[in-house]
Amino acid sequence: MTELRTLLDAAADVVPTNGINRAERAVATARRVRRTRVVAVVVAVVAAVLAGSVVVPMASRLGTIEPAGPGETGVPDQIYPVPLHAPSVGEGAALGQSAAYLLGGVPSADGWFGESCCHMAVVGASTDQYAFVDLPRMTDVAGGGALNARLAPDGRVIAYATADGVRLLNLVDGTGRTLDAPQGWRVWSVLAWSGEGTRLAVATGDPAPGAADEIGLATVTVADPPSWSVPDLGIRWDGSTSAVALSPDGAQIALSQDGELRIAPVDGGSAQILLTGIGMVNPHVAWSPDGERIAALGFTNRRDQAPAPEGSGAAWFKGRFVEVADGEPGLFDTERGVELTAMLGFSGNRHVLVLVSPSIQSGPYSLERLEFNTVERSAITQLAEGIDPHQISAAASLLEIPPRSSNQPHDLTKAIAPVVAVAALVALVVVLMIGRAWRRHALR
Amino acid sequence: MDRYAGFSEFVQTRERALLRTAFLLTADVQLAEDLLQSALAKAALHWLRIRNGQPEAYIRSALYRESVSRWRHRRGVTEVPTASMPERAGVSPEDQIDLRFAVIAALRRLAPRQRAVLVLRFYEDLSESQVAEALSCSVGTVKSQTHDALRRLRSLAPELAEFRTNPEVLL
Repeated sequence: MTELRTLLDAAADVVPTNGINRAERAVATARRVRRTRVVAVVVAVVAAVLAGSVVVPMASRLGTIEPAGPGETGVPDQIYPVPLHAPSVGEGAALGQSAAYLLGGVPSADGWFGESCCHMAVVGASTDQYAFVDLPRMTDVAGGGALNARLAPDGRVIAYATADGVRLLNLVDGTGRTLDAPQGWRVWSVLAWSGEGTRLAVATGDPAPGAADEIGLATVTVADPPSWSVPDLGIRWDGSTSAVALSPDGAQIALSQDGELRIAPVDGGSAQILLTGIGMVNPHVAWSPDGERIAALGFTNRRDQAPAPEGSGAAWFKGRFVEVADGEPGLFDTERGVELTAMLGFSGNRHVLVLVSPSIQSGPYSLERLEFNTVERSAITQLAEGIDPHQISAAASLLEIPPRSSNQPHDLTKAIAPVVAVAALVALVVVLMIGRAWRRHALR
Repeated sequence: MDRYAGFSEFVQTRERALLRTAFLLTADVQLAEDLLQSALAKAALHWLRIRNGQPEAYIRSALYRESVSRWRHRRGVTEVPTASMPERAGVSPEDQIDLRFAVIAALRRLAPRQRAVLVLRFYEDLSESQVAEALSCSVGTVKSQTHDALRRLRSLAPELAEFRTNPEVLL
C-alpha cells in the first residue's frame, strides 16, 4: 500500500502553485447561483401564472355542462357575475340542458357593447353553469340601454336582431333560424316575446341612411314563413322612454309611454288607453299569462303621480296594474326601506317578478315574487354585487319553480383547478430544470 | 453577518491538499483546477450549513462525486490517450521523475471511477466501506473496481513493477 501511495503522492507533486484566488471565485460563483435561483423562482411563478391563463380558458371551453338530475331544476338563490372563463354558447355550441333562465349583459373591456358583438350571459336552469352568448352588434336604436336580444318565456330560445331580420338561437340544441324581414325593412332590436312564445315585438326602421324617423314598432310571428305587422297605437313610438309587452297569444300589444298604458291589436285596430299617471322614466310593462291584466312600473320624481298605499315609504318606483276587460286599476308597492327597481314579468297571474333593493340607486338587489293584493313578497334569488339589475331578464315560467341552494359559479374554477395546478407544476419543474442546468453551467 | 465568513481562510489553508487530490482524480492539471473550483463553489453555496461541521469532508465528497459525474457528461475528455510508456531500467532521481509522469500517464488511461477508487483507497487511505460511501456505491463495486484498476494500471505501466515492495497490495 505504501508503494502505491508514494507513487500517487509523487505524481501529485506536479500540481503547480499559482496565485489563483479560488475562494473569491467560488464566492462569486455562489452569489451568481443564488441570484439565478431567485430569478428562476420568479420566472417559475410568472410561467405558472401564464400557463394557468392559457390553460384555464382552454379547459373551460372544453368543459361540458352536466345535465341536472330530477328535481334539481330551479333558480339558484344567488346569481353571480359571470366567471371570467365561462364557456361560450351559440349556434353549434349549445348549453345542452333544458333551459336557461336569466339573461344579462356582461361588461367587456370595451363596455357592454363591444366592437363586434354584445356580450350576454345565460345561466343554466339545471345547473349553476354560467355561459357567455356573443351576439352580433346592432345599433341600439331602441334606446335606454336595452339589450338587443330577449329570452323566450320558456328560457330555451334567444331572439336577437340581425341585418336580415330576427335570428332565433336555440340554447338547448345550438340550432338557429331566421325570421326574414320584408324587403326594405330593417330590424333594430327585439323588444318582447308573447307569453306563448308565438310572436315577437320588434323595433324596425327603414334601412336607408338618414331614415331613422321611420323607426317604429312591429310584430312578427314565430312561424315559417313569418308574418309581420305594424300595430297602430295612436302615438309616435319613442324607443328610449317606453316599454312594450305582448298578450300571451300575441294578438295584442301594450305600450307604456308618456305615463300612459295603451293597448292595440297587432293586426290593425284602434288603440285604447288603460292607465295614466305611470312613472315615465325607465318603464316596465308585462302581460299576465291568462291575458286578463297588465302590470306597469315606472320611476317618477313626483310622489303624487303614483301615490303609494297608506303606510308606504318613499318609494318612487310605483307599480300599477289594470284589468284588461274593464279597465279596473290597482297599485302595488313595497314597504318603507325596500325600493322597487325593475319588473321582469309575471309569475302566475297574481304575482309579478320584481327586483327590489334598499335604495333605488344601489344594491344589493333581490329578485322577488310580489303578490298584487297583499303585496307579500317572497325572495327568489339575490344578485351578487357587480350585476346590473337593468340587464337581467328572466324566463318567467322557470321562475315558478322554487329556488334552490346556489352552488356559486366558482364550480367551474374548482373543476379546472387541478388542470391549473398541473400546468403550474409543469411550468415550475421546467423552470427549475432550466435553473439547475444553468447552475451546473455556472458551477463549472 | 457575512455568509461567507471563514471561507477564504479555509480555502487558503486547504486548497493545496485539495488540488492534489483533484489532480489525481483527473490526471490533468486544468481539469483538476476546474474540479476543485466547482467543489469550492458548492461549498461556498452551502457554507453557512457546513462551516461548523466538516467542510473539507464536504468538499472532498464533492470532488469524488463530481469527478465520476463529469465522466458521465464528458466521456472521452478525461480519458486522454497517451503515447506508450517510456522504457524504464533504473531508479535514479531522473528515473523517479520519469516514473512520476508514467503514473500520471497511466492514471489518465484509467476510467474516472477506477481513478477515484485508487485515489480514495490508496492515497486517502480510506477503507473499502468508506470508499463505497464516498462514491455512493456498494462495497462489492469498490472491490471489483479496485481489482480492475490495479490490473489495468499494471498492464498500462509495467515498469512500475520495479518499485513494488508489496506486490499483493499493488496487485
